[in-house]
Amino acid sequence: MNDARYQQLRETGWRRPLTDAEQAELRVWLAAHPEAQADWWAETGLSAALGQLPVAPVPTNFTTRVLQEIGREAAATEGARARYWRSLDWRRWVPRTAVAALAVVLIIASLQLRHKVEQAKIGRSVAAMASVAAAPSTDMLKDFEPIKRLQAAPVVDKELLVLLR
Amino acid sequence: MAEPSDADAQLMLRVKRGDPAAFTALVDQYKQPVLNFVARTLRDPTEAEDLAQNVFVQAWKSRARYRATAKFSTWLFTIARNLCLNELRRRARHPAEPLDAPHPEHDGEPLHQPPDAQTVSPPDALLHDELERKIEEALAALPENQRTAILLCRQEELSYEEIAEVLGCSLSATKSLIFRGRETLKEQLKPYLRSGDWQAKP
Repeated sequence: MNDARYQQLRETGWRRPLTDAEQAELRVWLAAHPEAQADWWAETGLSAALGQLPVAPVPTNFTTRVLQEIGREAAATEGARARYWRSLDWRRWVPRTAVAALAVVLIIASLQLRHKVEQAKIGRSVAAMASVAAAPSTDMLKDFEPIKRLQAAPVVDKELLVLLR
Repeated sequence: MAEPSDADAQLMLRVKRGDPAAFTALVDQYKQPVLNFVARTLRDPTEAEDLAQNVFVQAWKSRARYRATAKFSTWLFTIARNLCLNELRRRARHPAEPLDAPHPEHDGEPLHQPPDAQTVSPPDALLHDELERKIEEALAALPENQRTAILLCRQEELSYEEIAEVLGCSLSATKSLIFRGRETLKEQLKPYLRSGDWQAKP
């Protein structure tokens, strides 16, 4: 037996007790490799310890409870499915759709009315501006400076007027 | 598609066709090994029972996705491992309350009642309990993949290739996980192994 075979027996020992033939083969190999005996001792001890761990107690009604839980979940799923299909019933949706459509129509009409009112306001503003546009031409203002100098006439000398009389 | 040689896979194909009796047979056959695996992973008997039941509920709900290319036990233990991982992650996010936390309904009583310390047990039973506790603590301290590999290795239904499939790694990686986990356990349990309490000579 070589090291690979020892490893193979070791891996076999992890899963199950060795057969008599395997144990005999191993004894021969360990006799020739005493340095491996301590490790094999620990391996078998550990396997025995793991094998002696108690099994978890299974409740007598384990399977029943599994089937009950499956039944509960199936009933809950079926209920959810039925509620979904009920929600799609056309008799529930026709009045809701009509109300929604009416609301949409009213909103559109309201928006159009508001648009017209705004347009009328703008029209009135334009008309008001049009009357302002009838103001005199700016050509009149070209004589503004001479007119202004004329208006700034000297003050009447009343004493001179009295002397001249 | 050729009929699978695995008897459990054949039962599961019947389950896919809506046969509840086939499913009941599978639950009865695998409830012990699944509960063993879950109990060793979670270390809480009550949670382990609930989660083990949930493994089978999930198997039923996933029956349409079952393919007979893999052994049924491999598929089932993959579900079990995934649910255990989810629970361990949930615990990491929400640590457990202390043992002396007050009971929500009975004032003055702790939520978790420890066993009565006044009960006298025979010395051998005490020693056995201590050894059992030591190995369970050592197992719990292993990284999850090593612990899972060692626990699945104890399941006779699973070959090394199937254990590798459950773990999602190669055959050599699986054997390496088992080897490293066992080396750690041997080191931690050396005094007990040396004492001969668990010795079994070749």
